[in-house]
Amino acid sequence: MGKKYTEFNWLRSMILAGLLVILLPFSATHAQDARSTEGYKKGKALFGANCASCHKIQGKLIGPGLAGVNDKYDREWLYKWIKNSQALIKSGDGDAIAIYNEYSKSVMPAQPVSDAEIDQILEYVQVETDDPGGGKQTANAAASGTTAEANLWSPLRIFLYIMAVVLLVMLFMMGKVLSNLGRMAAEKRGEPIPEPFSVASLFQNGKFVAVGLMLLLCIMGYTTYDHAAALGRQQNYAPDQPIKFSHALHAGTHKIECQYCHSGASKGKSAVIPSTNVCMNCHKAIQEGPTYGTTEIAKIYEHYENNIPVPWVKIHNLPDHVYFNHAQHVNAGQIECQTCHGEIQTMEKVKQQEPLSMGWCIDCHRETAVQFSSNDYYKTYEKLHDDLKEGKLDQVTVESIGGTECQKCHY
Amino acid sequence: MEKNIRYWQSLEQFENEAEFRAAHKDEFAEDLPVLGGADEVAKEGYKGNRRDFLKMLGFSVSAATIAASCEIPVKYAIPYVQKPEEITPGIASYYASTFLDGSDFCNVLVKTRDGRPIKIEGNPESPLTQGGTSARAQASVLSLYDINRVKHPMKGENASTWGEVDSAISQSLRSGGQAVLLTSGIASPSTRQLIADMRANFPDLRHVEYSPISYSGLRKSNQICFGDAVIPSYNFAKAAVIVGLSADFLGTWVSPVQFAKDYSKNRRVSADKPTMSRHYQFETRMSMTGANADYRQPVKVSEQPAVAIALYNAIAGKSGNSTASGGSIDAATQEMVNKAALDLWTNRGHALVVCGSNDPNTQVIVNAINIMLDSYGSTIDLGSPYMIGGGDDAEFNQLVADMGSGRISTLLIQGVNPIFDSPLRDQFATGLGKVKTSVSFSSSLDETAAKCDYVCPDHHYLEKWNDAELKKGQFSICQPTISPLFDTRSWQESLLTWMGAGSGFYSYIQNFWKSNIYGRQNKHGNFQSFWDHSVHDGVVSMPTGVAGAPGFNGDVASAAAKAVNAAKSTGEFELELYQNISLGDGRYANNPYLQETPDPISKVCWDNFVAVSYDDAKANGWKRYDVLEVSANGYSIQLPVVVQPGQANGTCSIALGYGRTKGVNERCQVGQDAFPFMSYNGESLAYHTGVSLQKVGSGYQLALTQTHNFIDDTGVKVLAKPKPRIGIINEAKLADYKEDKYVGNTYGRKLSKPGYKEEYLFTLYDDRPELQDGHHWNLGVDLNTCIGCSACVVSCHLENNVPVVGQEEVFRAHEMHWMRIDRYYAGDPQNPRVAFQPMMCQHCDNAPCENVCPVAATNHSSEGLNQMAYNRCIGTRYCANNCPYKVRRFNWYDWQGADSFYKGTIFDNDDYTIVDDLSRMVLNPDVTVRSRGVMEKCTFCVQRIQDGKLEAKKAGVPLADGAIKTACQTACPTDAIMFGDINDPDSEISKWRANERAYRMLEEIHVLPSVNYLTKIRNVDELDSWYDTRPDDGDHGSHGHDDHGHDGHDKHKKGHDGHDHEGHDHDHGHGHDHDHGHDGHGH
Repeated sequence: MGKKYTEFNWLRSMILAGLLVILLPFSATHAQDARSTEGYKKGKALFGANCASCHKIQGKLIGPGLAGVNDKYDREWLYKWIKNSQALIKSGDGDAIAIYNEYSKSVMPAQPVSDAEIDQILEYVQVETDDPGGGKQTANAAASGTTAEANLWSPLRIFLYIMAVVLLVMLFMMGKVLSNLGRMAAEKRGEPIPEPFSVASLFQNGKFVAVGLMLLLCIMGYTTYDHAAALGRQQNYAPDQPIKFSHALHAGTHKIECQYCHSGASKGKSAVIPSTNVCMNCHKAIQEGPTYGTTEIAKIYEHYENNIPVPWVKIHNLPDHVYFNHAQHVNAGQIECQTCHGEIQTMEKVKQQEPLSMGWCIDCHRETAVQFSSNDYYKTYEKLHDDLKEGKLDQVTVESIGGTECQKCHY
Repeated sequence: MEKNIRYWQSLEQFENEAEFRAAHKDEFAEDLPVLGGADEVAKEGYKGNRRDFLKMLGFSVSAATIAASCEIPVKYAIPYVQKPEEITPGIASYYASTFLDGSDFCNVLVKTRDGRPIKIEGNPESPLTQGGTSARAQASVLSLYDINRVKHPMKGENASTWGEVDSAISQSLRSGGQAVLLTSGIASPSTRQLIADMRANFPDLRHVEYSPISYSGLRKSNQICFGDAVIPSYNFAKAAVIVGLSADFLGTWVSPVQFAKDYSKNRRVSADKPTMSRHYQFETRMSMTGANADYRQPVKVSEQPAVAIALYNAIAGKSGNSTASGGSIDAATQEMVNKAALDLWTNRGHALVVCGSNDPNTQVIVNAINIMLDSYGSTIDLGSPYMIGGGDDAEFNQLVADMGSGRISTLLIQGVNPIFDSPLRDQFATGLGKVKTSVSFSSSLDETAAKCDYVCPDHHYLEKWNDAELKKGQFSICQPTISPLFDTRSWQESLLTWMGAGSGFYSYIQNFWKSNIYGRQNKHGNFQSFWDHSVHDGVVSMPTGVAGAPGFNGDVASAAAKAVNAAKSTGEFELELYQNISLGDGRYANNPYLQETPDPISKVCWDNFVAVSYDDAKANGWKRYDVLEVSANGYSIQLPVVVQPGQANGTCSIALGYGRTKGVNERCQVGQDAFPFMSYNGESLAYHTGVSLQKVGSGYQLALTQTHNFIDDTGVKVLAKPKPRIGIINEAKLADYKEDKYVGNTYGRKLSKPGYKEEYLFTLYDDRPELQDGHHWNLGVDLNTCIGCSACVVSCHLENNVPVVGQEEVFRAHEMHWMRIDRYYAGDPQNPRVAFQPMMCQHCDNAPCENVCPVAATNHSSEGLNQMAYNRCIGTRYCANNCPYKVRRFNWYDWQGADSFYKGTIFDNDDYTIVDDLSRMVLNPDVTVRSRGVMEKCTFCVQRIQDGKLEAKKAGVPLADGAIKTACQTACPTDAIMFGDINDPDSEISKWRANERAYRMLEEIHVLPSVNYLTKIRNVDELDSWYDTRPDDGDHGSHGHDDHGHDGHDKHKKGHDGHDHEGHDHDHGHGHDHDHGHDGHGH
């Protein structure tokens, strides 16, 4: 798709620029700042690891939604409650007993977190409460992309297409006129009259044919190579899954942290397809879904009870000679899941958004900055640190520390 | 100062350097082959033509078209139903366990990925093996995935069920009559207890331990001398002078990994500690241990007791003890004995004499020597003996007699294969027929199991619970790291079942530990905590006091007479039988990794051979590839001859364990069985006999790897300026090293001088600023501590999915070892000096391979790695052609089933390579399985580098020195290999690189290798006088190091008359820095 209008790149850029100017006022610049703090990031991770199985920000899950919790209770009370709710209840605290009773005496387990960590979690909760449209920034960017594509047939474009056709016709006419004038001039001077210009005569011109053939071969060669290189790639692959699991519902509506289920993403090579017992953490309680009722959830129980794993279809496949490690990207690189997997929180059925080609990987490695100053590992690159300080470099990309070398991924 | 040493790798090279070099001048051993199968090409030659080419072209195009239009197969991601907490897919877990097979043992850590063991590492917590491993321990993980394992209980030749065999066997046990449990040495204390319980249940049950590699003589001598039939523990770390009497203690004797570790502690020299132990070895064959000795003296088998007696007498003369008489030795040996005796006596209290003989009387004399040297209580400890290596030759003999007389009704056989590995094999086989119920616990249908009534297959050690008391007070745990792959059962579990005690062997071990071991410690307050820690660490040490000097009850004079008698043999040649480092007594014959590991000295793999001495070969006209018939006592075998430098005259040696016929893959049924030459002499097993040798053929193909990758010197001659000698091995003697730390390292000395580099080492490349920042990986190899044991070679196989190619392909020099250990000889072929040099990709910063690759498939990383992108490689082999170190390996075939089109191709050789689904489970999922037609080579274990870096990034901390270790480094039992980042000035490898002994191989050609070798230092008085140089020069005289300069040069002038001068010029380890062809002197 993309290649069709690459020749009009300048045009697209202008349109995009225009659109950006229009859309800019709507983007959540404030939230962006709040989300870049250390506290927010750590809080987000802690929330995902400790809270998300029972709490959402908005609306009840197993426990209450946490939006506004900072205003409702004072911080000291929250420390006590989170660390050991049962002790607080036993001490006869009124608020505590009220919640306990409201949630039919289900116990909130004591959480192994420090006060500082609770602060971070609450900072995250606060930001999410103030600006619930967490994904708006990226969603906007995506929206602008689709707008650009829709603009393929915008009035401006149509006008330009017409202009191009008119110019071509004029070119042809001018050619005719020139040719006729030449013939008339020759006739006048009594010189031999040149053949009238015709398209057919072009094909008797050896040079033209040779150059044309060369061009044709080049194009064919390139197309063949392009398609051959793409063999085995599965962009837009969206197979049916044994259970109609909706990421839009879980990650989008309920905002369950990705790593709650894909718990390997920050630890190792594999992001991990969650084992059935992870599904059961929530689905012990939640037996009915909004779309398919009980039919799809019942399949989980069937697999769980019969001890048969769910045969999920693998969508994102890399060739055997490629080494990819999720932890490198998610943990060390702090890359969002959506960067490679697309807007997963909007997908009813997951599809492979990106080509997962080597060119695509390399492009990102060339552009993406590493966590150079925040991760002490990179201290070993002393010269690059000096260059940064002296302003010789704007940023240290993956490429500048060797991230495009063969044996970073192929071994 | 610098010595003039000529190194050679084979006798062909030694005898005619020019011819040898001419024969090896081509980069590849053969012309472009292979459209037909291996045999076809060998027979008929290559017959490709234009039509074939068109056919292939047509096929390729249509195949590509069809393949391109195929749908991509659907892949599944199958998660757990209940994920175990400690497993994260893609992340390796390590479990402490113990490799225990016969008398081989090693405390190990088992690396498992997604629930399957794929790699063995040493357990650094172990006080015995101290993190070291052996080739056998490394390869043991492949035996788990052996397709030849017995997959279910069997009755006769048919599959059976546990219920059926259990009822039959327990009935037989209960029916009365003599029952015997025949096992290998039992090192497991719980199992010993279990056997005792069993004997309480079945009073008629007898327990017999048998080991074909017997330490019966050693035990018996200690019974005679000290009243305890034990193998005492030896501490080589405390020994300043070591004398080995045909004891291969670094390779195969008692506890080689531990001995190698301890030995290396005293062999490592540095500017701070310029001292090392001195090692004398008297032996018949050239063993790996002998190759590492400072002084080595070849002696006949029959002379071994005489050497012990002479040594005893020489020391007794100094200590004032009475002398003994018996045997005679020649003057040279006597001189060496006197020298050794003087060193031992001077260092008494820090001296150690060990003897590999299985004759109790020889061992009594050795014990007497050690008593005089005050070794007991310092280098030898009777208080904490080894509990492995059990086996009583006399008891076994009695058992065979009882079987023959039909007195045994039930026989349970565990861990031994007497129909193959006993001298009484025929009597045993006959006797087995008379036993009413015979049961084997073997996990393969070996020679003995095939004749048993029932086979109750035991688990592989990675599938079962077990424990071991390897040395008194040193307990180890063996824990399962995978669910049993087949319907097998731990043999101890079987015993429990037949006893009717059904609670399982796991709880049996736990109970045993609770009542016998837990009480002996006070670190843990409850048993659960003690048990959990024990399982986690894999080892538990209980204090045992070091026993002091014991009272000695031996009678040296009578022992001397008996020993000399026992060693006598009649026959033309004295045959010595030995186990090599890979196959042992034959129990590892079905392990392709071990089959393909070349013998450290002969460099022969996939075969055994008869080794004869240089002089004997000359006298009899035997050459390499000849076949000799070895016969004695009515048994004869035909074996290829290997003329072995260092073999004692009048002797020959054959490795045991070859010639297996049952229960091993057809491709692994190689070599000839030498066990029938073994005999029982009424007291113990004798590993020698008199034989006659007769040449019966020639042209035998031998899988011999040493000359496959011959390093030549073309580049040095053209490039190096001023022309120095080519530096392959650097060595010097200790006394010189004490005075001059650069001794032997001429080139290192030059490089250390300011301005040298700039003046002489012109380069077209820029100085690569990217290598200065971030990491720059380097490897170091200490030639002083490397003993040539090949654990690294096998470890590399497993870590990097390096394929095994099989015997026929080794014939064609197609072996794929990323890492090899080059063995060099220098000096007299009758007793040469040996040097080992581990050789792997040197990751040159000016790599010659990189700039000849037409597709840039091999190139340099900013971390100093010479990268190899398999998928970009088109197989021109230009890189291998241009590699001065010969370390690149080409995939002639799809060895491991990486390609889609595999089955039915011309080389469908899944008999012995890893292509079946079971064997492929051993592959490391982090390393690409290479397909046919691509080049490969050592990567410095880049997957480990990347993993180490990622762990540091995840923790947000700088990468610690030592956090990344290569597979060869972790496997090494002598810590001879170091890996790290030279951009970190405090790292260990930076220190190695800055060491005065550090040199880069072929540094003169300025390819800037990243592997740093440390000069070999020998603890000898004279380096030159000990060894002669080329006999062909007519220059046999010895050279003191003082008269070196001009003399050395003259020698070369003489060399011109002999043969091609260039031939002499190349291989010298340390050179003169004069241009060799001219008269100029550098110093």
